[in-house]
Amino acid sequence: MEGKTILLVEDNPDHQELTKRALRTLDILHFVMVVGDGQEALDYLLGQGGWSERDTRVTPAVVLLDLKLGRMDGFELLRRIRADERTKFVPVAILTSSREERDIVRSYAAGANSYIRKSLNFEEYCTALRGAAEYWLEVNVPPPGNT
Amino acid sequence: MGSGEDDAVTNPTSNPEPIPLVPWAPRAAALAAWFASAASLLGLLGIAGWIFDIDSLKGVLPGLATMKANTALAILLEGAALAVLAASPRAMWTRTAARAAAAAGGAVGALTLLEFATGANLGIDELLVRDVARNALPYYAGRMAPTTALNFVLLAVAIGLVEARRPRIGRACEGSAIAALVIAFMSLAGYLYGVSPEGPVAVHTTQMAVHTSTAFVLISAAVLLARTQHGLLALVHADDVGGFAARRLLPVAIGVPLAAGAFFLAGRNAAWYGAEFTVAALVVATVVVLSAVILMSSALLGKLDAERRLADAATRRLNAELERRVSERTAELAAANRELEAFASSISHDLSGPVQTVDGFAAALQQECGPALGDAGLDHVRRIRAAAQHMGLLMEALLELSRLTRAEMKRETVDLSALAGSIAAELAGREPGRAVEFRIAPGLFARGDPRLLRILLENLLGNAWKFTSRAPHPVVEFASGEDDGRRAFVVRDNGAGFDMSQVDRLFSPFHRLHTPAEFPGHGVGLATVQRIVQRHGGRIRGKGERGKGAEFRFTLEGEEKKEL
Repeated sequence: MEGKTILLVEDNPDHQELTKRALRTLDILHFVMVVGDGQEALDYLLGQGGWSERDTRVTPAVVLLDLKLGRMDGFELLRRIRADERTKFVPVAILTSSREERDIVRSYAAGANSYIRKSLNFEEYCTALRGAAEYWLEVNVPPPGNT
Repeated sequence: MGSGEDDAVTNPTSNPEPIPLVPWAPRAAALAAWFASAASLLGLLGIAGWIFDIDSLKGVLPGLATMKANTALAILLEGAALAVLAASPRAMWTRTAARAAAAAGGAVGALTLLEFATGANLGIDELLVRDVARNALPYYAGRMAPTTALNFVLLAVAIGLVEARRPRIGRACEGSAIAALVIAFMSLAGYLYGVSPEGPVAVHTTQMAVHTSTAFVLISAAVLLARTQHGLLALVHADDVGGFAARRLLPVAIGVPLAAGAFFLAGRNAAWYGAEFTVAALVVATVVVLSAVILMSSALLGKLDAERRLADAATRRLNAELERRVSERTAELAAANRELEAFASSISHDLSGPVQTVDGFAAALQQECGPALGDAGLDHVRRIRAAAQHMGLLMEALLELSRLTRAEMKRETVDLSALAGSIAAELAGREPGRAVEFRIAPGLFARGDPRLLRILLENLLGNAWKFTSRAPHPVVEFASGEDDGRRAFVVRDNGAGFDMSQVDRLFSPFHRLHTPAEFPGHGVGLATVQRIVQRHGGRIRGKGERGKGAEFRFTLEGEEKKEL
C-alpha cells in the first residue's frame, strides 16, 4: 500500500466536496474514501454488501464521522464499529458542527477517539482538519494489524 | 432550691414554650402589684388600729374577730414584698430585701404554728401590743388563728418562688397560693353566710378577721396574676379555645355556687326550710347551672371546632390545587425545555450546514477564480463570506443564550469583586494599548452559579470596556448599590452611553444601539446578562446618556425563595 486512507462519512455532498478540498493539499494522503451514510460506511469497513470485494486488511488511518446522517446516525454507526471485533480499534474522529455538550458526551461515551468541530469560517476549518489529518496519519500509532 | 434549679431559673433556654396570650394579659403584672399594695395597706391599717386603739380598724365590726398586731405586721411585710417583686425590679438588693420581708412574714406564721403544735408560749403574741379584748378570744391573748398562721407560711413560700420559670417550682408556688386562697375564701364565705363557731372545726376556721381574709385573697390573687406569663393564669389568658373555655366557665363556677349558697341560706334563716333542704337545693341549683353553662360552652366549642375543620379542609383543597398547578407548570416548563433543546440541536446541525457551504464555496471561488472575477467580483465574494460568517456568529450567540437558559444552576458564594478584578485584567491583557481605570469595590459577595456570574460580569465589563474606547479618560466602576431596598450591584462607565428612549429595547436579543462601524458586537450580550440575572431571581435595569456613560444595576437574590 502506498499512502494511507481516510474514510469520510458525510451525507451532505457540499460538505463532502469542501472536506475533500481541505484535505487535498496533504501529499501524505493516499486517498479520501467518501461514503454518504452509516450503513455504507459499515459495509465498507466490514467488507460486506456492495463492498464484499474489498480487501478488509486495509483499514483507514482514521474515520471522520459526521453525527447527522441519513438511515443510521453517527452514534449508531460508532456503536456498531466498536461492537465488531474487526473494527473495534479503528480510530474514529467525530466531525460535526455541533457544540452541544450532550453530543460531545454521547460521542465519547460511544467510543469516539476525538471530537472535531467544523468551524463556520472555511479557512479555520481547513487548518483544523489538516492538523487533525496530519496527526492521525503521521503522529498516531495505529493499533496492530492496521495497514 | 439547689444550685441546679437556680441555673434553670436564670437560663432562658430551659423555659417552657410560652402560650400565646390575649392582648390584655401583660397588664396582669401591674394588677398584681396593685393587689399586693392594697393588701399591705390593710396590714398598715391594722397596725394603726392597734397603735391608736381604733376598734373598727382592728375588727371592722364589734364582736367580729380582730386582725391581730402580728397578723397586721406579717400582712404588711408579705404584701409589700409581693408588690415590689411583681414590678420586676432590676436591682438585686431590692429583690433580696423583698424576699427577706416575705420570709419574715412567713416566720411569724411558722412560730405561731409552733406555739399551737407544742402548746408552748413563745411570748411573741403580745410582743407588739397588749390585746385588750382578751376575753373574746378562744386562744391565748393576741395570738392569730391557726389558719392565719398557716396562710403566712404558704404565702411566704409562694412569694419566694413567684419569679420561678421552671414548671415544677412554678407549680409549688401556685399550689401554695391557691391553698392560701382557699383557706381565706372559706373564711370570707363564712362571713357571707354568717357561720357561727359551732364545733371544733368551725371554731378554728372562722377566727380569721374579715380584713385579714380579704388581704389573703388579694395576696394569693396577686401571686397568680404576677405569674400570668408562665403559670395557671396563662391558661385563662391563652388566646385559644382552652383560654376561651376557662374565661367563660371560671366566673360561673366561682360565682354561681357562692350566690346560690347565700340565696338558699337566706331562705333557711327565714325558717322556710331546714339545713338539709338548704344543702339539697344548693346542690341541685349548682348542678343545673353548671351543667347548663358546660353544655352551652360545649356547643360553642363544637361550633369553633367545626369551623376549624372546614378551614382545614379548605386549606387542604387549596394545597391540592396548588400542587396540581405546580405539576402542570412543571410539565409545561419541561415541554418548553425540550422544544428549546430541539431548537438548539437544529441550529447546531441543520442551520449551520448551509452557512458552512456558502462560506466554503465562496472561499473556493476566491482561491480558484480570483483573477477571473476581477476586483468587483472579489468584493462581492468578500461580502458574501462576511455575511455568512456574521450569520455563524449570530447562531453561536443564539445557542449560547439558549444554553444559559437550560444550564443546571449551582448556588455557591461567589466573590464578585475578585471575579471583576480578574476579568478587568483579562480585558487589559487583550488590548494593552488602552488605559482604562477600573474602580472595583472590594468584598462584594453573592450567592449564585460561578460560571454564569462570570459570563454576566464578562458581558457587562466587556461592554463598558468596549464603549469607553473613545472616552478621553475611561473609567469603569463595579460597586454595590441598592434597588428598591434590595442589595444590588452596579457596573458604571463614562463611555458612549445610550439614549434613554431606547431603554426598553436594551435587553432584547440582536437589538443593537450602535452601528457595527461605531462598536463591534452581535447584540446578545445584554440579553445574556438579563437571562442570567433572571435565572438568579433578580432583575437588571440600565440607565444611560448619550456621550456621558451607562450604568447597569442588578440584583441577584430578590426572589430566590420563590424559584421552583
